[in-house]
Amino acid sequence: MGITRRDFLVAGVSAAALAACGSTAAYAGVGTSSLVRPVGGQDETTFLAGCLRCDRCRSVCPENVIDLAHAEDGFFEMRTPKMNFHLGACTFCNKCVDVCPTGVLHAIDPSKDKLGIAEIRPAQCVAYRNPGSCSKCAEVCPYDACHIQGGYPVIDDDACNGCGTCVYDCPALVLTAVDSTGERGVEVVTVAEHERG
Amino acid sequence: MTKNKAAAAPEQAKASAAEDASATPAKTAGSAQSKAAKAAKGDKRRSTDNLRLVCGLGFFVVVGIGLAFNTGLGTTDSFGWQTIAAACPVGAIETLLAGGIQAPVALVCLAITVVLVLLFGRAACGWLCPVPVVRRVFGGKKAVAKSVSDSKEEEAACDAQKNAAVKAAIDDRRAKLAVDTSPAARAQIEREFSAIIHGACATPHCAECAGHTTCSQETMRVHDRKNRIKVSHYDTRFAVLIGALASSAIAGFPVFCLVCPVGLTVATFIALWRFITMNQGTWGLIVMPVILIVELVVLRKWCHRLCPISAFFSLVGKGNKTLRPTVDEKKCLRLNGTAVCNRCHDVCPEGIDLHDPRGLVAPTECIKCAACVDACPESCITMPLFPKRTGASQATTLTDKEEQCLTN
Repeated sequence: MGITRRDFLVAGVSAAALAACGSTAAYAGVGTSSLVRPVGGQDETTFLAGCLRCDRCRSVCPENVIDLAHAEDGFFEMRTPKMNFHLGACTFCNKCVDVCPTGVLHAIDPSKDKLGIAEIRPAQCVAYRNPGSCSKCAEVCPYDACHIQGGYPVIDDDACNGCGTCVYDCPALVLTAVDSTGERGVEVVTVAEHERG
Repeated sequence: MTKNKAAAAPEQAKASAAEDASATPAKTAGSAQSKAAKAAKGDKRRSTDNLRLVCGLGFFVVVGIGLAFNTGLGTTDSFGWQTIAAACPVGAIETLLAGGIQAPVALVCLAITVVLVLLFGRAACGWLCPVPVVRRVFGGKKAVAKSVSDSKEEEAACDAQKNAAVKAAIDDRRAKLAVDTSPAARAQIEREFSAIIHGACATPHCAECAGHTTCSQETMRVHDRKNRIKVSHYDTRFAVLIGALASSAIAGFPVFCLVCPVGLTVATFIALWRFITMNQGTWGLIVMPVILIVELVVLRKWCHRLCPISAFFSLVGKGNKTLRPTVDEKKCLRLNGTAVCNRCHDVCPEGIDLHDPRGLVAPTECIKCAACVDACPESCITMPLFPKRTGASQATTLTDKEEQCLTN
């Protein structure tokens, strides 16, 4: 069949819709979200450019720490992988790196590079209510980046690589019915967000 | 229109079979009648159709196993074991253009997909894509009924013309054979019949052949290739494909992936899974199905009119030679002059006419659903792994001789 006027219209409208979608995203500032990404996906712009939203990294993660960004995290980020340390902690096993079809996730050196940086949330932290009562985060930290000083936990920004073990083991706010809301006594944020304060 | 046509076909076959009964010896009549009965029963033989549904649902099971046991097999967007995967070609090219490809593995994954498409054509559309499965499960069979062309009138008119021409040729042959029975005359009659039946579209493709129907099949086909009507096999899907790739290159991220119904279907499944097993509620459970409904219910002709993935498969699938439905010309009721049977064309979800490879839809659009194989009252359609060179229709492939003739 030849190209009819209707075909032309359909083609034009759909191409325009996609272009509108793309430019809206660019205008809305894709690449500025503050989601903590899996290993190697720390440059948000590059990450979003290369993420197929194929779900393989989430599927393969043995620690269940990789979650999918929801509609709440932004329409343009929806279905991309994000770290959810309420569900697990990263062991840098690099399985997600192996399965990434575009290579946008790549192996990093846990002693130098960071997924993010842990921040104490005094409003939720048990030790802040009753100094010295809890030292869980300092006990579990595999990188010796969390110490108890004067009864309060303090994060060593240089040593912390954002693996999230402290968040996963933090006893504050573990018994919520819905896990996607709320913060624990310690949370991992992206390096950029940590610097913004 | 399509429905009427589908219903009319077996009746037509029956009617001409009945005519047959009066004109030919009893033996042929009996078999023709049973053939017609078989044609009417064709609807019930939907084994491949069910197999396809099982295959499509099986894919959800695989995704489910991945969810339960962290297999990392992936989804339709990228499926494989460890580093080796077949990535969604559109997504992969989008990321390539968006500058997101960080490792050569992406090109390997893309290459694997291209090879698979060359091997199986558009089979992924018919067997793996979750969209038809979702439509069938939630929308019943009507939702997957063919919706190929919006110029249905054009299609129906062409069919009617062809059927009339075929009917005339069949009657003509029968009349002539009844009069003249010398072997030489018979051969001549058969040749003429064959020429007409193979060029049955009423439009005179070829001025050289038009006057004399005695052209050999081969010459006619060559002439036809020379003078063929320019039928565009590039439809609106290709515009969407170009739009998707261009917008990704400009916006710097894979734009189409945002609204891809394949990805959204799998993502909805995953979100539901996590909602049930982990109490993880999200607005995505509403947002994603809404986008899906808009795409698949409001834009009903998504697969044939808009899907850029299907466009990519069609493009690469042009090089696919294997598993093509092939008609045995000796057994085919239409091609051997028994009846104006059009079952395979009627059931084809892509609207391919196996009797006329110059039809409105290119034979390479085949999604390997085998509906034609199931529907054929003579069981004369096969999908050989490699194209057969003898005994079967070679209409889709040029022989060396033809090629030579064409270049001269």
